[in-house]
Amino acid sequence: MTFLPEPRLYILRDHSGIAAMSAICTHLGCVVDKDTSGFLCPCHGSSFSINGIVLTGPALRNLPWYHVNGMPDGTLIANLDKKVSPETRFVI
Amino acid sequence: MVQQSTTGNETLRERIKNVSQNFFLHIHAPRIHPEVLSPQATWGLGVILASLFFTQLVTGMLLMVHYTPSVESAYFSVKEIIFYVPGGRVFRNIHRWSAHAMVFVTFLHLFRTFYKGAYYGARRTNWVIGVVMLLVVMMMSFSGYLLPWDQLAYWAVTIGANIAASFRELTDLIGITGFFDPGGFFKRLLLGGQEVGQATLTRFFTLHVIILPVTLMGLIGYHFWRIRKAGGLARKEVHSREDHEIPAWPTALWAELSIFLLVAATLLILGLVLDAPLKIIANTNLPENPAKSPWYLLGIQEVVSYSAFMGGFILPLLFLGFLFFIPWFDKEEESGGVWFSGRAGLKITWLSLLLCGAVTIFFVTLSLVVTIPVKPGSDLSVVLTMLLNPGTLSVAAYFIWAWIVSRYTSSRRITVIALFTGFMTGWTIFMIIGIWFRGENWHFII
Repeated sequence: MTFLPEPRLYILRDHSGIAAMSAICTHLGCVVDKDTSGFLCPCHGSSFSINGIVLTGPALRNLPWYHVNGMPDGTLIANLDKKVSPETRFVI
Repeated sequence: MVQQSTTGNETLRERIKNVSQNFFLHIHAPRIHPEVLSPQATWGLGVILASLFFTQLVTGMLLMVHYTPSVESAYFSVKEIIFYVPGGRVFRNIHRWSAHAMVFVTFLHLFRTFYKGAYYGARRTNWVIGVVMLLVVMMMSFSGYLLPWDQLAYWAVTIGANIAASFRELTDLIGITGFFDPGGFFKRLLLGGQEVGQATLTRFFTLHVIILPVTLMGLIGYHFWRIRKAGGLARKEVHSREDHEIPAWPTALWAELSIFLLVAATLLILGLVLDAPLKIIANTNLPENPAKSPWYLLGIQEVVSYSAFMGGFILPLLFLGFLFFIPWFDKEEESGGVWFSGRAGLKITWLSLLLCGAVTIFFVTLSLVVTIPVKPGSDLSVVLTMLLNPGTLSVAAYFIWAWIVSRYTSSRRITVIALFTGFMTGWTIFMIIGIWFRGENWHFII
């Protein structure tokens, strides 16, 4: 999993493809930190699973996953207006 | 109106004296009771605040000359103030410490006026103005925060704006966010966009250097004038007008000037020995860990870490609403001007402090042992998080305590003392937890 600073996304790559998850905590907007078991928010202590599911509050919503698409030149586009399920992958 | 000289050949010194005496007596009543001059009467808190505000204006203007409100250069202009501008470091230090002192002394002033019952009758207006001023002082402080554009600045304001947006927790729950979204509106109003950026810095700069200080100046003038309208500072019994009163000039003037000098000297020493912090430049990708706001906001940060909407919105609003409402609820005028309104009030203050403190600590400890699992998307889970957290439960307990007190004493003054003390005890405990007991990832540490 790689962190992309500008769009504040975590990019996941596994055997089935590529996916993008928001790195912005759904509580009050801090950037969450990756940890061995998932993600932690440094501002108020919310924790999320590796799939972005809330484990402990104060956050009340999961970290959203975004639709990923590829351009003919190989560029990847994450559409921040289109949320998808955590299992969705862009297959290369 | 300047006094006319009868002889026409007064010296310059006499003219200055006349003008300043005239100015002084426009603010003060010509005669005052010596009782209000004794330190125990007011602890000089109002004059200390005025002195601090004056210091802020002077140092603020000096800082403004060198500061650039742009995202690219704000941080470096602050560095320049510290390292290149002659005396810049000291002026910035004084500005920062004086701002902290202003928040602290404003709260002390609130305590003094509350526990001495200075909100009855004609003082009611001034009490309300005072609560508004408390808000303006906090806003001044918060708006000043973003200006250095360091890590603390960026993330404090990001969090603050999202607290404003947390109204969505409620509108989401009812399902009306689509067409009625005050949370989103507040956030955009504050940030001038979706994220903290140049528009936000420009807005905060304008608020910090023009809108809020001018508002506060107006309010200070009105606040002073209302003291005179209410017949001077609050004291126990007002005898006949002549009773032991002394001319305000020059006794009160010396008292006030010595407070001002003491404040100025203290700030100068602080500014010389203690450097105001400046973190590394804002990193929009990575908050500090833990990302802590300044001490006076850590109580809010702590309750916000239980529930954004309750801690950041409802509980502070309840407290403010209660402060505004006090003079309309409690009209036992005979209780005014005496600390804690006598022995019964003092007893209830101590009792409230101990009880509400114990209850708050109990709920916080409980929350460390029992955590309510969050089920995203479930309305019940959202409601439970809002209601069953140490912040909401403690505040509910303060109200129950005040209700019990009102049943047993049937005194409204004693009831508000119980609730006020409860709120302030809770706020202090949450602040202490935020300052000393929260570490990396906001985990509880000892």
